[in-house]
Amino acid sequence: MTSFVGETSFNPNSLLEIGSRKPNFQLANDLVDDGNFLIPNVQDPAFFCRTNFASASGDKDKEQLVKFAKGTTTLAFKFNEGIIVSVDSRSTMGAYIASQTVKKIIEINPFLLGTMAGGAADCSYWERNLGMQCRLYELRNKKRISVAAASKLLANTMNSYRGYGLSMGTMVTGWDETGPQLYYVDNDATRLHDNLFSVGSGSTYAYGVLDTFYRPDLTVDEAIDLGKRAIYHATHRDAYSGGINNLYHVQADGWKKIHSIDVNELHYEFRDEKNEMVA
Amino acid sequence: MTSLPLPPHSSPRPLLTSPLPRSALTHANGIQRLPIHHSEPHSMAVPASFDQQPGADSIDHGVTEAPYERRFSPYDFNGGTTLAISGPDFAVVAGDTRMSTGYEILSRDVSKLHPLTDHCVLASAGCKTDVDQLRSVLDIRSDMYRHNHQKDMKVTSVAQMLGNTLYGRRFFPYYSFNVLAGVDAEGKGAVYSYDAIGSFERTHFSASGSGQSFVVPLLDNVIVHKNRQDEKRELGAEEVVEIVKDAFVTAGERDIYTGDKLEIMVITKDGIQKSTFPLKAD
Amino acid sequence: MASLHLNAATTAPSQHTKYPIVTGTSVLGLRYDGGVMVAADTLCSYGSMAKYKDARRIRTVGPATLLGASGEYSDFQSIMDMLEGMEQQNDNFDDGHSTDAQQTHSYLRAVMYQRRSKMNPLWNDLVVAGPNFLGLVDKIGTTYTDNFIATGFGSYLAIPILRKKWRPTMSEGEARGLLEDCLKVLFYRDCRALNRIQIAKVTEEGGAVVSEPYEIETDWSAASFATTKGGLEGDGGW
Repeated sequence: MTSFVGETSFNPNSLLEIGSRKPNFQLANDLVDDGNFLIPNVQDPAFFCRTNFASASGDKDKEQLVKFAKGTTTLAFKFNEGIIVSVDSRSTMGAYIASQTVKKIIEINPFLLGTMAGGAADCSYWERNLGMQCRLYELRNKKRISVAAASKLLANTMNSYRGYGLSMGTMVTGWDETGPQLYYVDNDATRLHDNLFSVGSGSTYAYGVLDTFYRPDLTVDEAIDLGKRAIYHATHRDAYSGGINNLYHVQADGWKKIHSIDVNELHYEFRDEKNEMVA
Repeated sequence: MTSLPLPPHSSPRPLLTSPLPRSALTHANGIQRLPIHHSEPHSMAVPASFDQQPGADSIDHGVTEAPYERRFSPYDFNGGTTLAISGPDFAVVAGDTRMSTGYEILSRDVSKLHPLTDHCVLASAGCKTDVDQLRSVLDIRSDMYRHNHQKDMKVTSVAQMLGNTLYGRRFFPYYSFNVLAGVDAEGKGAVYSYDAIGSFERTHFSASGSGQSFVVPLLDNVIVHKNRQDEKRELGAEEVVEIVKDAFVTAGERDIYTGDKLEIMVITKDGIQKSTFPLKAD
Repeated sequence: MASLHLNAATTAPSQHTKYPIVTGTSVLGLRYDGGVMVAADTLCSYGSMAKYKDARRIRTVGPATLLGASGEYSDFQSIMDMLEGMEQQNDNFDDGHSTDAQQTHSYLRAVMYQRRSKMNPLWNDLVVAGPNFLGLVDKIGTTYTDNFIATGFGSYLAIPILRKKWRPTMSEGEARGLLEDCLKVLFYRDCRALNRIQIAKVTEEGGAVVSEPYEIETDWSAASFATTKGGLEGDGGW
């Protein structure tokens, strides 16, 4: 936009128009929906954005004026009966806990789930955008999109904004024609296909528990228990994770929400269990 | 974070930069650090500007070049606190009316509340100019919706629109900490909290701005009943308004940017009722 | 949807305002019973040099609006050109309408915000006055209205005086006296101020009028100026 807001560009095309002020619709539309992002008018916009407006993890953004909501532990693993997706619900801005009730599992559509780790706004916006792209795919191709394609669409979007300070570590999961599938996509446009992932500041703790007890032939109840336990241990030790454990199970006919349990309750449940084992 | 190679013509920059002068550095809860003036520009470990430091080598140490405003910051922190609480059939939203810059009070009577529809109010604290711009943009979009659909937007839709509008400025954010309050289609109170780039969530209550850290713990205890053993009872609109007044008196006591006057709006399915309450002016 | 759009300005060499060069100091505004008064000195400084002693920092915009500016004088001149262009357009339409103070205030706010969003601000704090309006717009587009306004050093030195002495029923003479006192204090304590001032007023009946510059009397015999401090020669300054 190089003209001032409110400037009336006035080129009378006919005698009838002389004396009429033509409102500049272009400007009004630009203000509302220019379809592009406003980029700061500096020499190196990418550098400027990733140093000042990054959704960095931990307290890497402590020098930044504007801090964004982030922080987390999320995990997902594939087993014979489908996929378990288990997350915490804490969102932090610097050292301040902004919320204990964030929905970090995003229901892209009844067959696809995405998780949120990193910048909350980045994740929720781009996964909602992914949902829109998936819907367009369905309308154009008369069939549901595969998990591989959906994750690829998201990765391509991340590639376009590479270097601008977006922070997003997500797992895209669902059950398509090829069976249950799990992909990891992050803000560098990394896209990985595997059976087990954990993302976020508490992921290391979750991996410890997951790697120890994971087997492809877990029963559904065992898998749910594993997902719950891994998140509990991560929230116990990672300051940036906590709140509520939300757990979903992806099955052939879509995903199903299994439970929403406060991790504090889990602490006492596991403590009692431990005491019983020792006794 | 990976760093990209710098363009060849520019001088090496410090790793962490910010558009703001050190004197305006604040945290999300508005704690201001004392301004530090350096006469030797190069020795600054402080956030540097995005271009060459002017007058860096001149004999007057750049003193003739507006010494306290060596770099331009597009943001300013104008302070203030906002709060919203939802009830079974109402929502209460409130904001103080003080507008500050640095250690100065610019005005004691500037409203932070902005009704977007008859059943929905946006409360924003942060950088006033960005807040004003955000309000303009939302008003335009609400008007366009009303013209196209012959009815007002529902609160849930306004919430998503605000989230998207904020994210549209992901790479040059509105420095605005928003709280949206209203009554949803079923008549229940709705409160949404936002971060600066549009991540949002529907919550029971929300507070933002400089006094946020003083108000949220109080409301966690009194409204949501966290860490309390006694029985939780339902609070009516009048009682919630009294709690809101207490919360602002509390915040005003410890936050320099909060005070002067409190504006309260109670939103029900019948509309919006406004009232004011004086706060300390110190 | 997921494409990136860079502004042309980032690829071409550009000159952005980083700091002001020729600057004006405080502008004061005050509502009184009958109108609004704006005052400022006539100095534009070139850094620490008092270079232009007859700078007109308060101007009329149309028949009934006053605009006073502190900060970079060239940016003020550029704003005046823009507003004068708008006034000319108004005249050309010849429909009896002209932009009033409130509209000018809104328009300037939009202009300042847009420039700051392009990281190339107009480096001014503007005071806009109309017969029943007094508002401020700063260089990033922050706006507010009040019964009295001051920019620059005036916000530290003059506002406390105005907060104490202002009443809604002030007459024109009282308002002028109060503003002169404030400007006097500013001259004593602001290094970039001058004792040659202009007062402007805008009223319903008389429209906007700016006085010719005149000198105000200053008294340097006060003890704090005259007596030496702590054994130092002079007033402790150098």
